Parts: sequence; structure tokens; C-alpha cells
Amino acid sequence: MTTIPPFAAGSYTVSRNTSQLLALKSQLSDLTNQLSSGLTSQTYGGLGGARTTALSAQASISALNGYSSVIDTAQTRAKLGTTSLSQVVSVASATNSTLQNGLQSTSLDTQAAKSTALNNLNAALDALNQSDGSVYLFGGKKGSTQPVADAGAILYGTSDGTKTLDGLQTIVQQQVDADVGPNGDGRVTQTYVANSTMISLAEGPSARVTAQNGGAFGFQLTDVKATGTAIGVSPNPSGQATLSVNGQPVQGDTVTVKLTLPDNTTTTITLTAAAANAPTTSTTFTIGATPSATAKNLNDTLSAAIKNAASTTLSANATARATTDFFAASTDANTTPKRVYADATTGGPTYLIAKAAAAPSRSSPSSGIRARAAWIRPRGRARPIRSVRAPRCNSARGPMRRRSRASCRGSPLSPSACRQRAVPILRRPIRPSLRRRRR
Amino acid sequence: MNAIWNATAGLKATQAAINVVSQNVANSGTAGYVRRTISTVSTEGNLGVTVGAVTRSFDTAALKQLRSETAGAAYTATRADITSQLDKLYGTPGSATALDGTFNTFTRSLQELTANPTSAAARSTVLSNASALASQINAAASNVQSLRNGIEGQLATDTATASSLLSNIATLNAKIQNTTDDSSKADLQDQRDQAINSLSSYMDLSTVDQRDGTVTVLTGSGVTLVDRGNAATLSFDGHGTLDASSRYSTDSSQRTVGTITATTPGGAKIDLGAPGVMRSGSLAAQFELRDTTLPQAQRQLDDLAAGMATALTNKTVTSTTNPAQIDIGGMKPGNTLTIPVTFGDGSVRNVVLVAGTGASKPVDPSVTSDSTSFAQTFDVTRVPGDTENAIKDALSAMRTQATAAGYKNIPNITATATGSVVTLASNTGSTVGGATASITQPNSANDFANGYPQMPLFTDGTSKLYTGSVDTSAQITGFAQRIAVNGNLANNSSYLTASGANDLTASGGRAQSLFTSLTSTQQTFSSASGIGGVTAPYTASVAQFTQDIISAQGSAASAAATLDNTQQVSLSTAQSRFSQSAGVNIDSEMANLIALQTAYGANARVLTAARDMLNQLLQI
Repeated sequence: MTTIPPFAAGSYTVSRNTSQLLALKSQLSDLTNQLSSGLTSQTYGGLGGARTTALSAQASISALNGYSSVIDTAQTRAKLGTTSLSQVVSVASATNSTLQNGLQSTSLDTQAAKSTALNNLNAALDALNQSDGSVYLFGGKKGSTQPVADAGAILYGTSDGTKTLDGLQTIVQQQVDADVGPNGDGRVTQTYVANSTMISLAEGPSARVTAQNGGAFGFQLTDVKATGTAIGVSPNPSGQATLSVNGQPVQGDTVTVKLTLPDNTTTTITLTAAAANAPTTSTTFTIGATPSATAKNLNDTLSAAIKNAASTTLSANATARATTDFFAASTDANTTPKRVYADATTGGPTYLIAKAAAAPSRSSPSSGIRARAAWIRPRGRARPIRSVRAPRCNSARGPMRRRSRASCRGSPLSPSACRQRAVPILRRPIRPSLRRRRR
Repeated sequence: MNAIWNATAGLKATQAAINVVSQNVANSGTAGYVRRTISTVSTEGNLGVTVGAVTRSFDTAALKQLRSETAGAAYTATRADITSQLDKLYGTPGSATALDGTFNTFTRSLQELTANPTSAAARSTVLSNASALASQINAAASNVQSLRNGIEGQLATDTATASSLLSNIATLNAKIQNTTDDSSKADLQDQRDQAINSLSSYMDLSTVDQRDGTVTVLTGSGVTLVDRGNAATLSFDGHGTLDASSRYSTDSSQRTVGTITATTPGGAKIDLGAPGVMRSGSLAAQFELRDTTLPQAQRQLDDLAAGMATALTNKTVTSTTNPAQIDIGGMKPGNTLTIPVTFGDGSVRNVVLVAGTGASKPVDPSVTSDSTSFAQTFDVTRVPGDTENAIKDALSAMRTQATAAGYKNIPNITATATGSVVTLASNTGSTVGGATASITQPNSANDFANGYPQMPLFTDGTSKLYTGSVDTSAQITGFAQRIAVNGNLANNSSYLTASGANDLTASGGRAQSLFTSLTSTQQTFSSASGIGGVTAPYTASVAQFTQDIISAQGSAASAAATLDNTQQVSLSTAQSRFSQSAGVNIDSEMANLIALQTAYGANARVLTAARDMLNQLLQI
């Protein structure tokens, strides 16, 4: 490649001088290059012993720059996160104080408090949906989807075309309905035969936790007492009591009914005997002309008092419980809010899906916190939820279940043999109309 | 009347001397011209002076030194030229376009993806930086091959020039033999020496002067190129375009690059391209660059490409016990099982079993990580459960090969297998020092689930998984030219941020693990790359290996440049020494001229005096 040119021996000195001048010139241009570029050399070869240092330093600088930019991103997120969290805190305390003020004020203020609370909820949700442009800060591993649904969906439910998701309002309403009962009396049955002196009280069949209902509904009748001698109480052990007005009570005699709510808090109704001409209040019963008239008065007042307790204390209690439970549920922990179903055998309320004749509606519980009903556990690959209905046969294993009795009707096989044959669980929601026809 | 004769002869001799002086002066700047001197001899019987031979004045030792230094300087200059070009391939230090800069940019974008896994822009940045890195490796490897191609072309031209110089020398030899005239003989000798000097820049030569005035030219290793009027012809069989698999072999049927063949007048053919035949000169340097230096640079890039691909796809399993127990389940063709064996005399040799398809066959150890190992394939496609027999067959075939090759220490390993777990024990006299297997996790270039977080980010072409297969030809050879970003990944970059084997939810975990695999996880690189010595495999992270390649080429270039500078000084010393004896010194020629002028005047004066004396005699 490089050949050595022939040289003239006679003019060697001259040609040597020339080549040395050329070498000097090239040194000069190297140095000029160094001066203008600020670099020792344009290649790694020219760096000499500093070569490996330069290479590893470059790699370290790059890695450190990488860390530094990641730190910048993280700092931005930490700042945004702190801001969001402190906003949630201030919104929560503002809401708290507004609501407490509202309690002592007129109904006009209550309306104002309500709208303030709604606005504050929106603000808190916005803070939780905070994004730094690429990641939802509170999204955890699922940083690309909003961690919290909007207030409308949480409160009133939503529908995405294939399924309806219930909101808090529906769930609370269902819980309140189940607790207060169809007669608005907290499922306490009060019996009074006209012209008699006996008033019977009995708590509802689902007032206590049983294997059938999975939780208590309505009032438990815990204690019934009466002062004075005129009114007798015969408490029965199973949540029943009978008040008998044996004589005329004296003014000031009291009847006390202690009711336990499903969360084991209690409320007490105290009714006082009052003179016939005394002004009527919700906590007094008038002494009538005869013991039976007094008993009727007592019955009316007691009935009104129990209904009042059901529509206030019990209703508020049910709302609080349903709400707490609603917000405690989470997809990641694989929990869902409790739902109220109608028991297949008793017709009473139950929390247990297996006992339910059917889901109360074809909607799954909402939404805001969780996108997936917990009782449908993901199998294998993650897939979007298609069904909101649980398998009807509790013993179904895997994706198969036994056939229902209903579906075996008309089969040539014996009912038990038919039911042994597993069929795949229907993944698509069955419309209620279809379901009825099939049954 | 002797005075007249003497003066006339003196005038003649002086004129001849002035001729030589004038020729010296005129040719003082002619390349290859050697200063001439003329000697005068007094004739017997007081009859004046006669002109002696015109002789070329030079120092033979200096000429010999000049030729050997010329060959050396041509060798070092050629090497320095090509290695500096190799050095330039890796870019300007500290710039983002240097090879390490591109690599660092790529790893940095992985770091940034770790923090922003949901950002599609961050993912496409990773892919475009990976693509830039792959292209730079492609380009560097292509440049290495185009340098080889350039050398191949230059070899053809240089061989033709050298061949014509040889025939020129032979022709001049014949002319010198037949020329009696001193002056023209000296001219011919000048031309011949000049031709030999030119030839010495191509190869190292030795010359023998013969009695008849001719010169025999031999290569440094003793091949006769010119004998009197007969010259060998040099021919070069160029092989067109060279690629990464082209290599020299003394067996002409295996050879895929050109070589120089010298055909002697008798018809014998000698391969001048074989190692050791030419030791110096530009041709030797070009052979060395084409067959050793540049293939090694190619291998370094191949190793880097393979390291980048396998760091992200392979899992390494190691057993350090004796006997070694290792699970080799899931091996793909090309994956290796390396078993170091220590013999009774303390020497250690690796047995490398390469997974393959079909019957066991020997593997060129230079394509494995250890060039000095015993390498053999074993059949991974046998029905599962027959791993034991596949390994046993390979080990026994390896023993047969090694015995046939006459090795002193031959490993005798017994293998048993339960499922895919292989137990390797050694018979008496040697110890199995453990075993290491490198297993490619994905099943295809489209498989991003198996072996999560490993994934095929770099592939052979855009759709073929790189495993290092040796089934048809070694997949590693020329991989640097073919490495590319997986096309399947370019179509769906969300695999880069998958949070689980089948979970495409964005998370930075995979990017973090890719970053660690490239920058911290230690990998074994082949000894054939020449990094860290040529006998032992070299263990480093991919990032470190990238730096090592650049550093090795940089230091090779700077060493070659230093050597060249030293050699150029030696050359100018030799030239200076030669020119002291052979160069025309104008000062001395001028002094001679004045002396000759005076002598001429004196001779003329003698003639005038003699004429006057004759006139006086005639007037008597």
C-alpha cells in the first residue's frame, strides 16, 4: 500500500529538509486542530494512555446523566404527588368543617354544604387523578389508566354499552331498603289485636347474622323494659317481647325498647305515659280510658317511634356502612362492595350471592374504585370482564359448572345424571327476559 | 617528443575527468544516480597517462541496509495507515457518534424508559437508538471488509508492479553482462540497483553479486526471484469481493482470498502469501492486515453484536461442583455447554459442547468462546429424555477427534442425565471443574413471553433469532454486518415495557433489566477476538467489551504509528549513510573541477613549451 519513493542520493539533504518541513507543518496543523476543537485527538488512538480512562469516563457520564434525568422525572412526580396529597388533606378537612357547620344550621345551609361537599369530592378525585404528562401518579403499576373514576360514575353509576355499573347511590339505596324493610320499620314486626291489651314485638328473621344471610339486616330487639306495675313485659329469648297493659299506668311510667343495629351500635326508644290531656309528642303515649285504650295508644306511639328510628338512625347507619364498604373495596385486593340480594328460599335479604335467587339487578356494583367484580376471578390471561353474573352453581370448579336443575328439565337423562355433566359457564350476561324464559 | 605525447594524453585524461565531473554535477538530483569516479593510470615508457575505469562510488553495506530499512519502512507505514483507518471507524472521542457514544446513548434511553414506561415516545427512542447502534456496528463491519477489499485490489496492482520490476532486473542483468563500455555499464547498473531498491519496498530481499556482473535476487526467506537473465513471474488470483467468511488457507481449495504465486522460469510454483514467506515490505504488511488484523477486528465486532443479542436473550446456568450437575433444558441450536477439565499435570482445557441438530460433528473452536477448546456439537433435537445419549455421543466423538489429532491430555468425561439435568463426572486422572451453559430463552424472534424479562431486542436480520447456531455455518461469522433491531418489536414496542410474560401493562421493570444486562451482567467473549489475550475467554459486561474493542484498536493504531515513526527514522539514517558515499557532493566536484582546470592549463602549457622548443629547433 505505502511504498517508499526512490530518492536522489546527491540531493538527499535537500529532500530530507523538505520532508522535515512537511512533518513540522503536519504537527502544526495537528496542534491547530487541537486548539480549535479543544480535543487532544480526533481518534481514540491519539489519546494515548488516557484512552481507557476516557472511555470509562464517557460511560460513567452517560450513566450518571441517565440517573440524573430519571431523578428529575421522579422529583417532578414527588412534588406533584405531595401537592396532590396535601390538596386531598385540605379538601377533606374543609369538607369536614363545612359539614359540621351544616349540622347546626338551617336547611338552606345544608344544601350549600351538600354542593360544597360534592365540589370537594370532585377536587379530591382530580387530585388523585394527577398526571405528570405520562403517568398517573397514583396509578401504581397501571400508570397509563386513571386510577379513580369521576364523581358522577362513583355516585350515580355508569354504563359503557355492554354493562351497567352501579354507583354509590344505588348501593346505599339498596342497603337502606334492605335494612329499613318494606314496611319502614327496620323489619320489626309489631302485632296488636284491636281492643286487646297485648302488644307483641318481634325482630325480623334476618336481624341476626346467620349462615343464610351473611350479615344482619334491620333492628335486633335487645331489651324491652317497663317501669311501674301496670305494664308487664315478658321477654322471650329469640328477639321477641310482649307488652301487656295489665292496668292503667300512672303518669311518668316508661316503656323502653332497646334496639341493636347491624353494626352492634344500639338505639333506645323510651316512651313515657302521659295524662290524657297532655300535648301529644312522639315519645309519649296517652293514658286512655281503659287499659285497652291505653294499649292502643302505646301501640300507635311505639309503631311511630320504631318507624322514626328506622328512617333516621337505621337509615343513616345503613348509609354509612354501605359507603364505608363501597370505598374499602379495591381491585388490587380483589374485594368488592357487599351487595344485597334476595334470598332464594326465604325471600329475605342476604349478602351471599350463592343464596341469592338472582342478582337484584343485572348490573355489577360500581365502578369507581374497581373495574372487575371480585367474584369473577381472572383465570390465566387477563381479560376484560364480560360477565357480571356469578356462576349459579356454587360448586363450579374452573370454567365449568354443573348444570342447573332448571336446565336439566326436559333432558332424557335422570336429573342427577344430567347435572353431573358439566357445562361451560356462560360468560356473556344473560338478559333477565331470557333468563326468565329459560327457567 | 615525449612531452608532446604526455601533454596530449594529459589533456585527454583531464577532459575525460571533466566529463565525469560534469556528469556528476548534472545528475546530482537524479534519483538512483550514484557518484562516479574516474581513475588515471600512467603508461609505461614515459608515454603519458591513460584513462582508467569509470567506477560507481558507494558503500555496499549501506546499500544493503538501505534496502532492508526500505522494506521495514514500507511494512510499518502500510500497517500504520490501515490501523489508523480502523481506529477512525470508532469515531471521535467523547462525541455521540463514536461507537461507545452510540452505545451509551442507547443504554441511557433504556434508563429513561425505566422512569417513563407509559411514554410511547420513550419506547420509540429506545428502538431508534438501538437501531442507530446496530447500524453503526453494521457500518463499521462493512468498513472493515471494504478495507480488506481495498487491500485485495492493491495486492493485485502491487504484484503486477513487482513482477515487472523482476523482469526489468533480469533484462538489465543480461545487458550488463554484454556491455563493455564502462560508462554505459554504470548507467545500467544504476538502473538495476534502482529497480532492486524499488522492489525492496514491496518485500524483503537479499541479493548476491555474481562474477559476471549480474545480481541474483532472493526473498528474505530464500526464494529465488531473479537469477541472471531469468526472472520469476508473480501473479495474484484476486477473489473479487471479500466478506467476513473469506479467509486464507494454505490449501488452495479452501482459500477464499487471493494469494501471490511466483512461477520460476523452470515452471515451479511457490505460494508467497503463506505465513512467513514474506517477512517485511508492503506486501507482507498487506497479507498480515488482510488475513489477521482485519479479520480480528471483524471478529471483535461480531463478538460485540453477538454479546448484545445474547445478553438480552440468554440465561446462564452454572454448576461449580465436581461432578457437575446442570439443567440444560430449553437449549437452542448454537447454545453452548462449557466444561473445564483439569488434568493430572495441572493443565486446564475447556470442552465446549455446542447444541446442534443432527449427528454430532466437530466444531472449529475459534467460533466458540475458547479457541483452544475441544468443541463438538450434540443433538438437541433428539426426543426429550434422550439428552444423556446425545451428550454421551458428543463426548465420545470428541475423544475420538482429540485422540486422532494426537493431544496428550484427552478429557474423559462421563455423562448421565435425569430429564434435562445432566451430571458430568470425570474418570481418574482429571477433574471436572464445573459446567456453564448459556441458554437462549425466547423460542423465536416473535416470542416476548418465554423467559421474561429476557427478550430478543437484537436479531439476525430483522426477523431471525440469534442463537449462535453452527448447523450450516457459524451464525456468529459476519453477524456484525447483519445485526438489526427485531422487526416484531418495531411493530409493537409495548413489549419493552411489559410487566410480565403475558401482561402488557406498562412498567419499567423490563427496561431496567435490559439496562442491567448490558451494563453490569458479566458475559463471556471469545478468545478469538484477541481482547484479554488469545488463549483464554474474556469475561466482561457488553458495555465494558465495547470500550475494550475501541481501546484495543486505539492502542494498536497508536503502537503502529509509533513503530512507523521509529522505522522512518531508521530509514532516513540508512538513506543518509548511503548518500554520504553515493551522493554527489557539489563542493568536492567544484574543487575537482578547479584542479582539473589547472591540470588542463598545465598540460596545455607543456604542449606550448614543447611546440616552442620544436620551433626553435627547426629555426636552427
